[in-house]
Amino acid sequence: MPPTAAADQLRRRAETLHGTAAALQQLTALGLHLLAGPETWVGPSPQSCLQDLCTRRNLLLAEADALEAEARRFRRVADEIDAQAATAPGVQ
Amino acid sequence: MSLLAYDPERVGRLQRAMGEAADGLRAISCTDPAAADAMRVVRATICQLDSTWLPLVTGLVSCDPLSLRQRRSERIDDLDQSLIRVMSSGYGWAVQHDPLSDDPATVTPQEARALGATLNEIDVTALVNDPVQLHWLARQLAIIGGDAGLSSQFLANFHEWARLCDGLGSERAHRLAAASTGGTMNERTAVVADLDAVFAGLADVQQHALPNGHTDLAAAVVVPQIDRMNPYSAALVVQHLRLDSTTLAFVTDSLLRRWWAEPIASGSDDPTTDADHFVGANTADVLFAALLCDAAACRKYMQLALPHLDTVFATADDPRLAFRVVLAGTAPSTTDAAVAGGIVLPVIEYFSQAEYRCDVVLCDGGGGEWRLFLADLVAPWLVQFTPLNEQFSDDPDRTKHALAFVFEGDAARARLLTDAASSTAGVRAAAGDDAARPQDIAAVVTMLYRLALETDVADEQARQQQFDSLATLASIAASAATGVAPVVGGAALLAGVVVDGGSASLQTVLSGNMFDPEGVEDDALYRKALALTAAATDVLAAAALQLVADGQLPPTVLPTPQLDLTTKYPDREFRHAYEAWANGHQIGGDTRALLDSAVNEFANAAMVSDSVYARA
Repeated sequence: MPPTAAADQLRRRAETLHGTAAALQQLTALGLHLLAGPETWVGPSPQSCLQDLCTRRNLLLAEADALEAEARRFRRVADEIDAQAATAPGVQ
Repeated sequence: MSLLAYDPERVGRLQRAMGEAADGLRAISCTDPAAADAMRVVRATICQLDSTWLPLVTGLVSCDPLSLRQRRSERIDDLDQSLIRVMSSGYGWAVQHDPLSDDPATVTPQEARALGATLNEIDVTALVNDPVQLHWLARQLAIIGGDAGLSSQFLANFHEWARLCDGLGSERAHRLAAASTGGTMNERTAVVADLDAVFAGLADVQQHALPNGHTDLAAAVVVPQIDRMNPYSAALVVQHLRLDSTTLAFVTDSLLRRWWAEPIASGSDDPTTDADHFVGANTADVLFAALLCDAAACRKYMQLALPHLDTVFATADDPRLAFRVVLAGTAPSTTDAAVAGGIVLPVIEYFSQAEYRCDVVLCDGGGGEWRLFLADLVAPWLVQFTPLNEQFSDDPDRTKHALAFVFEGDAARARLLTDAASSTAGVRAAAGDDAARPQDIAAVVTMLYRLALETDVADEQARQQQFDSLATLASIAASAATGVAPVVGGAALLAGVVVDGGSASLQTVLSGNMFDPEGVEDDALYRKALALTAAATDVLAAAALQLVADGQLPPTVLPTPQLDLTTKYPDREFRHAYEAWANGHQIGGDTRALLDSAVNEFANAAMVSDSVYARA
């Protein structure tokens, strides 16, 4: 694959990951813990539910962060490919 | 199965939000391999919502809540349902069964607050009669007490300290008394153990409310409502608080003065207390055991209690605890002589003024151990009782009379005279280092021998007096039989002053010299001379060795004179031998003065008067 094509593919993947991360960060599920606290219900199950929702919220946000980081890495690699192609001998 | 309480309207809102959240999650799609982990988390979240939480909230919304009767049948009034009960009866929330059981190892802030509120109104007797609930409470309080935030939540709602603690304390006293009279011993002691754990938990919780680095706190700050609380209940909490020495001493003194002022509270509507059961550890036992962990607290407590020593010695079920508190508070390792004297002398004087009560009332069960206690109290401070020492008192008669009183007990006297270790420890402490000063040892030995001598002579005189009385009685009996006037006193009989017709057989019996106070005195003085002369020979030998090692005396001066056990006059013979030895080696100047000083401390004290030797 020509360098420019590889770099373009990485940029497209980065865009996809960035979009997915953004979707994760806007999920309604991230705000469920605010409705599932002791002002709504109390007992063993409510307590377990609240803990579970908080845990999953943290996991989703962590995955969103990981996707953003991966997207940045893809863009950086793409830029490096382009830069190498520009300085390579015989390239106009 | 547990219960859960909920606000139906808010649960309805939660149900809708969960549905929307699941839809939102399902809308996310990404096939990029780099997003595989993220998609797994998304799918797991959808699964959890769909399979667990949505069915739960949907069930709550669609089913009828439990009726009042159903709640009661589900034991909603139990302590471990405090939060459910508070939210349902206080806030009108609905209640349904919870598919999960409560995890007692986890306490939420809401549970801590609800527990505090419930304990304000709890039926203490019912609680204690339910071992499961009581054990649960003990565990919950331990968890709450281990967390500052939970403790703060609990204390924000709990305020009926006196009511709860008095109720629990009353049950504890009752159970202890019942356990001592038989029955299901194990069960009762298990309840008492859980009650103690509850008191410990309450103390742990309250500990978070005490100011950091606190000292000298007011009692009301230490435990809320302590002034309204029975001293016994308060003691059961206080014993677990980590108080500074001053505060612990102050609170102990305050509680015991109250206990002493009104020890019997029952017979009316008052709850049962330790004072109603004359068995087992009472208020004083509990507090003294706490004091004994802190020598400084013992000392400060004794200083506070001096004006009312009954509260020290007449309160504890085990008087030995009180003795240990006093001994800890006056130990030379932690107390200087001036402070110790301010405690030791008043304590001895207290016992000397209340001796009858000590044997019969105050130290009931002590078996007269208070005399041995006084001996132990005095032993480390013997130097301070010597005539020329003013560290305890500038009135030598006061210290003399105090020590003489301690010496009146045979066991105490024997302990003081034979317990060389404690006596030596006292002398060493007075010297301020490990090397006991000769003059201190000499002064102590002389004083003890003088006291022993006076006591022995007094005893002999008392025996003679008793015999004289018996002899008079016998003479009266004889005269009644013979019609001859009686002779008064055994001494007269012994002197042969018996009129004609007197009892010849009695005269024969009494013709021997049965009593000899002077002989007793001579024997004691001889023993004293022997002991002090032995000490003088040791001191001389040690001093000479040191001077030889320092090059101030030639090695040829050794050996030094030794104790002569064959002579009647060991002190006098040693004095002569020492003079001859020193003169023979031509020891003079500063070296001679040094040796004279070392030897004289003992030798002078050992010298017995010529009149005594003349009798011998």
